[in-house]
Amino acid sequence: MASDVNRDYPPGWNPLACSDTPMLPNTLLMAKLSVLILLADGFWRQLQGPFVPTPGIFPTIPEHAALTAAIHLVFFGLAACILFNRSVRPASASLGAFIILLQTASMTAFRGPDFLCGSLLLLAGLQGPRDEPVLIRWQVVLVHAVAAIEATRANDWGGTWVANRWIPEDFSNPVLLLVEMILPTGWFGTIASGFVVLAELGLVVAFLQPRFRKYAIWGGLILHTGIYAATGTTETAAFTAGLFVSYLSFLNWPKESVCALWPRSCGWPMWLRIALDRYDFDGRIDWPLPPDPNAELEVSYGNRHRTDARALRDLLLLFPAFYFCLFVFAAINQCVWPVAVSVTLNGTVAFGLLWFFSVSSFSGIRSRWRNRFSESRY
Amino acid sequence: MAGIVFLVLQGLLLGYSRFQEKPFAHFSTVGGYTSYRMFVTLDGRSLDPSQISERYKIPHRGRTSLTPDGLHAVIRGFETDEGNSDNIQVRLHTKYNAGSEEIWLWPQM
Repeated sequence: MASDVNRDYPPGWNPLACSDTPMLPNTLLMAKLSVLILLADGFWRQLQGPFVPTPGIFPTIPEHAALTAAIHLVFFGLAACILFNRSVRPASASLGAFIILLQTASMTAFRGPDFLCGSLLLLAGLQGPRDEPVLIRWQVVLVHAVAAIEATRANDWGGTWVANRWIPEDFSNPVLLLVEMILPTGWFGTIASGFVVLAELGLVVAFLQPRFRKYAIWGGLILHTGIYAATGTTETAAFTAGLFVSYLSFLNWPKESVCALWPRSCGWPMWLRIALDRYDFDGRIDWPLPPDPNAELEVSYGNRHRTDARALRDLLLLFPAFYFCLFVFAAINQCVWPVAVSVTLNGTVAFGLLWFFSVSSFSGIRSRWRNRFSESRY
Repeated sequence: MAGIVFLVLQGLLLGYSRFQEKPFAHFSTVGGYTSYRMFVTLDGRSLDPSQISERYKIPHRGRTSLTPDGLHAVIRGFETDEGNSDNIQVRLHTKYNAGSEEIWLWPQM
């Protein structure tokens, strides 16, 4: 039986549950997914010497077994605390600070995706108990602003697609290579960097306006899925995952439980309802018997009331296990298959989900427009 | 408050890095990387790839988000500390993005 989110239970040990801690469920979900990204990206493998300090005035610290073991112990200990819901705020802030410190202190440990995950963890921990993740929203704005500034290096953008092909394991997208060959020298870099600068700046402006935030999230999802599909490297995959995780800060996570009416003939498969019931580890969804067996699927929480595809969309968006499943699927694909296969599989799923969510999100707008046209016709 | 200070510092760090010739810190995953190959001889005998990666904890060739300076520091750091009694010669070929290939030698003349 689901109950109010503000209930006063001690947090359980289930790593897939995100309620009953001083963090809001979406903030804790973000922290857990950031930890999983760091683990899947093999961040712990980089936590070994030599540690090359970024400011050149400090001496390099060579590899030392005891130092490496101590760093691993701290990293895995704090990661376990977050995953198993133990003292999540201090653990998240300490792990984030630890990662940022390592990243800035040692050039060998610096990687964009890991830095992003570290700062998400730090900000999630610094946010007050049960506060909306405002700091992480600012982090999202900052990431896009920095990406726009970085993309002004047009030479880097042009060169990377074709550079260094003397390394056999280097992956270059054949379609982009062809486009770069057809265009006059230097044009591809200028066009690609110009487009990304404008797109990222547009996203910064849209994220700052609450009215346009929904479109900013759509734009960000499409743009970065596209960049991932174009490059397909593990680093891009990890960064894209980290960025999408940070978008969870904009989700309006309901403070009360969700009530779902799922009639047998509503058109959505029954196994999905059973799965949603079984894997609701937070016990947040109520499943009362629907009064009308032929009605549409209905979901209500707070003052919101959704039906059909939009109802299913909300159920999935507010369901932590859904994100864990997506993450495991994407990470296994990225690690197991060659780049071309993993990009195709992950890209298909990403665009498929975007399509489903767009159909369900914008169906209201479509029908409003349809009504407007039909009204004007008569 | 600490969060805001951290965000400002982060913006300054990444903004400063972008205007370096070879940025050492960036979010962008298509922005900057170094491709490199390394040849090492110890007492006149050349080391095989596994011996090189065991010595420096990085593969003997590949692609890294370290700048060429970072790679030099990895080798210099090991050789001036742990391996300073060895008769070692390192030749490192690096190429930053689409730039031209540069060769770096250790010990430095």
